[in-house]
Amino acid sequence: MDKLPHHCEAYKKALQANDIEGIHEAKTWLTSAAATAILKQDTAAVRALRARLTELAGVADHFDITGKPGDRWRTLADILYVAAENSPPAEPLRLVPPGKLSGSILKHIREQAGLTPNELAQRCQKNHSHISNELKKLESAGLIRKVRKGRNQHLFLSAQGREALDGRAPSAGDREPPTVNYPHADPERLNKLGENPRLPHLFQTVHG
Amino acid sequence: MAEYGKPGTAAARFVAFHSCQGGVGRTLALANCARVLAASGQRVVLMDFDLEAPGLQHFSVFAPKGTPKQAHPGFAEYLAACVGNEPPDSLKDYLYECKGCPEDQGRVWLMPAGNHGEPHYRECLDGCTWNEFYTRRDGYRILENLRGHLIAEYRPDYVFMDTHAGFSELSGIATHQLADIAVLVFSLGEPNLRGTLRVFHSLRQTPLRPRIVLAASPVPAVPMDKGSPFYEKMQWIRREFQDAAKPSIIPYHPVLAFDGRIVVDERDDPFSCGLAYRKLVDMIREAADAQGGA
Repeated sequence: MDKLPHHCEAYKKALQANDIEGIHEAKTWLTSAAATAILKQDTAAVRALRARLTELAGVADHFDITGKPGDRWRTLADILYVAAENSPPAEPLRLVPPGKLSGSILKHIREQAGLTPNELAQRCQKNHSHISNELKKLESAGLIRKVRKGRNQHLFLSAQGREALDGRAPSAGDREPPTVNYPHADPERLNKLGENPRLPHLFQTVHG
Repeated sequence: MAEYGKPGTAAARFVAFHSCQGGVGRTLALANCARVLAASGQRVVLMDFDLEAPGLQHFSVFAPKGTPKQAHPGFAEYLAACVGNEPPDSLKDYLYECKGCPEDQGRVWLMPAGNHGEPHYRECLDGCTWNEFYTRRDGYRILENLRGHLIAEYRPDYVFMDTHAGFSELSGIATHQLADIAVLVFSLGEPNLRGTLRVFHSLRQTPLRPRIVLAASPVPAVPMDKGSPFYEKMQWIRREFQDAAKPSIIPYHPVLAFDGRIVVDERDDPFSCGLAYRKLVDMIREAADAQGGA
């Protein structure tokens, strides 16, 4: 793994110089290193690779013309997580609780895959730079993926993000409020609304 | 003056007034319709859902009866009290009875947006995420409970909700969840019509399916005969807003644009708008009757 930074830098430089041979060489080394780390159950190597691959995915989206930009590295990062991590690492768990903005962002992305950062900012009622900082944390923790289409970025949960959300144990600050009686609420109307209805936002149900 | 049934006996109808853009006379239409009903003997509760720009308490007829207060707790304080707690036993702290007119046969109460002179009102707005409130803090149950509580405590014939212009979350809640009838107020400009059409389609997909009443406002004095631009707009509306009744037409008058007067309270209807508001009330009432029979 000592050569990992060197190969990552070589890959970036090759991308920028449009050096096809250099790109293939670095890709081969990195993919092979990932496979070796999985086979050897080398947790330290897996973590080092995952951190680097997430970074490379963003770079590849901009420069790589030899295949699907960035997808190789995101997929590989997901495989590394699923194959080699026995328990969710601490950083994702710290970011997941819905009481935190990062947790709320994850929930929004799960509810509507492909949201843009601007749409997220509106939903969370936060300014763009605040959302952008949180997205950086979530991406570097491997919980989300950014996919660029044209001028827009679209956000998706990674396999790790989904798993972290599903496996999240409720903490004290995150518990549902205690059961409250609503004596005047009409059960028939509540029944029509359904269990846990979504916020009836005018944009969400609009056609055309 | 037309009679609108025995007060407090029929089912309460929740009516949300919504407009996609501001300045079309939505609040003025609501105020005039409420006054028509109150004068003729109905019990009417007004709710100011326009937390950003509340306006109903500024009409003198909707000022508190008796000792005037500068500000009164309302919707924002009610929600704050309910989150994580049992709902209040009584709503009297959050609504007041309005002054009205001496000859009124009915009564009007107002739940103002809130005590917006207080710093905590601003904090409540800034710190409030409607999605969080609605989906994780029992928000939809809190609002359903408020709906039922208003009916039990005030026995209203009508509850009128004034929403914020545009596609805000609270406007969505008022029109899509709480309303039996949604009055969509729009001017005849293209963006306004397109936006209203989006709301119209959106309302058609909600589980509680409110009745929809259309109101074009304010409509300037223009030729309305066949082939005129006005006629063409009306044809477009009838084509696109399928199954909706023909819109109510509320005329434009510069004095009303300058000074929001409640013309239905004036004896001689000096601006010829009173009749239009009365027709709008008739349409709301017809929608209420149709909804009751549905």
